[in-house]
Amino acid sequence: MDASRIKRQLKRLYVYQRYVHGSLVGGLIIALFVLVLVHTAAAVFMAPQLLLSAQAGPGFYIVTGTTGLILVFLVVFLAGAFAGDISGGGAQLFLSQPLSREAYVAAWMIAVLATPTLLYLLSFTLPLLILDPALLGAVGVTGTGLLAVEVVEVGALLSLIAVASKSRAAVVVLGLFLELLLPWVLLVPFIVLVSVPGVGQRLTWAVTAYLVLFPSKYTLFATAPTGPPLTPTQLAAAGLAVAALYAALTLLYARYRLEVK
Amino acid sequence: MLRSIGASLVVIGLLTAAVLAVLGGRGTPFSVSTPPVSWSIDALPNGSLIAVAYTETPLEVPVIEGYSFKLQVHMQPSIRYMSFTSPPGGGAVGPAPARIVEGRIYLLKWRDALAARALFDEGRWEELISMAREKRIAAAELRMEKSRLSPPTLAASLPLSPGRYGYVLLLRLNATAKKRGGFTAYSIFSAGDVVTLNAVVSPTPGQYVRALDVAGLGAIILLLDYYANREEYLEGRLARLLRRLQGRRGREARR
Repeated sequence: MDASRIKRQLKRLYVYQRYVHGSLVGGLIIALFVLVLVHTAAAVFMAPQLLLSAQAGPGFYIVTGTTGLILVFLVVFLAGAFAGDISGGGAQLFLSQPLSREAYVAAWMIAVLATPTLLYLLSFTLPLLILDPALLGAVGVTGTGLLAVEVVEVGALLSLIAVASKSRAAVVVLGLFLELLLPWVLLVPFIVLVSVPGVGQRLTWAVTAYLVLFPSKYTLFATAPTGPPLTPTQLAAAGLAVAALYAALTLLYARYRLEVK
Repeated sequence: MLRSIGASLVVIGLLTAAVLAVLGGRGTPFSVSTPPVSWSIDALPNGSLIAVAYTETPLEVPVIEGYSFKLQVHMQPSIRYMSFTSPPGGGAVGPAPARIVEGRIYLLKWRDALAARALFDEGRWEELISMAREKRIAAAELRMEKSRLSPPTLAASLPLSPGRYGYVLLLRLNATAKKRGGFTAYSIFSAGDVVTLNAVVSPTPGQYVRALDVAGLGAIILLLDYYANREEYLEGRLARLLRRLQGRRGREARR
């Protein structure tokens, strides 16, 4: 592929992602309103506790864990809108010419994955920085960062499901199952097996796989006797690698197998 | 994406400034924490009863822009206590009520508070009182506060600058010790959390400037996006206008 063709494709991607964002910006801004209000109010009321060495830590993570649900719903429903666009005729209209399948899917993936996650991180970090920059250092970004990585991973998987199934309902149901139910269901065997003598040590690989798929559950294993098998940075890197794999599969599927009617 | 980011920065900046103005505009006070407190009640050599409270953990006051802190005491004017007399003829007496005739809170540096705690544990009350008077950073007397909505309370307030503190709360009661042979010990029957650390938020100009900086950055991004894609914005406006016109025509046709 020559340079001019890549440039042309990127230009088309830019133009189409503007269109996609234009149609989604209203919903994103409404969600942002709620996120900023909650994060700022929490920061104002919890600032003293955050800076006290003895009390810093979990308080703010309860808030971000709750607002993280808004991010999860946002990504799931945007992925549903993506599937709806493929099945509802939008894809047919834009793919007729001159947009390539990869550019079409990539534009939607930016809207489904990158934008909501970026807005969530901004709604969390900027109020803290505005209030007092020291607060961001006290809160840290481990919990929120891992939540963002998990949402990107699930969003990338949902994009693949959206492209393959073209069903809005399937994407929404699977998305809610993957984020709200499956992580907790998978915890049950760990809770049961960890007390069985000799089995606890052999669970390391299973715990690693679980944490790579659901990095935000890192804190659940932080107090385990052996500790979590990976550091937060390693988990984030592994999670992003899995998300990149899903994204690549989505683009490959779009290029060779995507049919629009 | 640029438009979304620009609009988001404007929303974040303006909304954060608005939340700061609403929550902190009038210096909103709120309770931060109630440090664990130990209480004891005992008789001085002259027979008068005193109640003493001290902090078990240091009271930490952090440095945060726009925040000031106060140590706040609020308690009922009467206190209930029990007295236990060891055999012969012992047993618990009470709970007996006593009025607080005098109350003071002494703020100490944490290392002095630790020394005060040792005196407290040994029951060396007079030394504790003189030490608290001598080493105090600040002190406040409990005064009666009357309110139409709640019963009168004894209250005191001490402004705090950042650091680590401890305090001693000293109450002189109107009851006197009645020794009935043997050793008599007393305990507070009900005191509750009477000492709290309160924060007062008063946003600074610096916080508003930072919030408006974020909003301004978003506005610049939106402006740049507008000038780079003016046709798109114009098309959007025309499309909205067209939809509105079509809607009006449709309504007129139905009439």
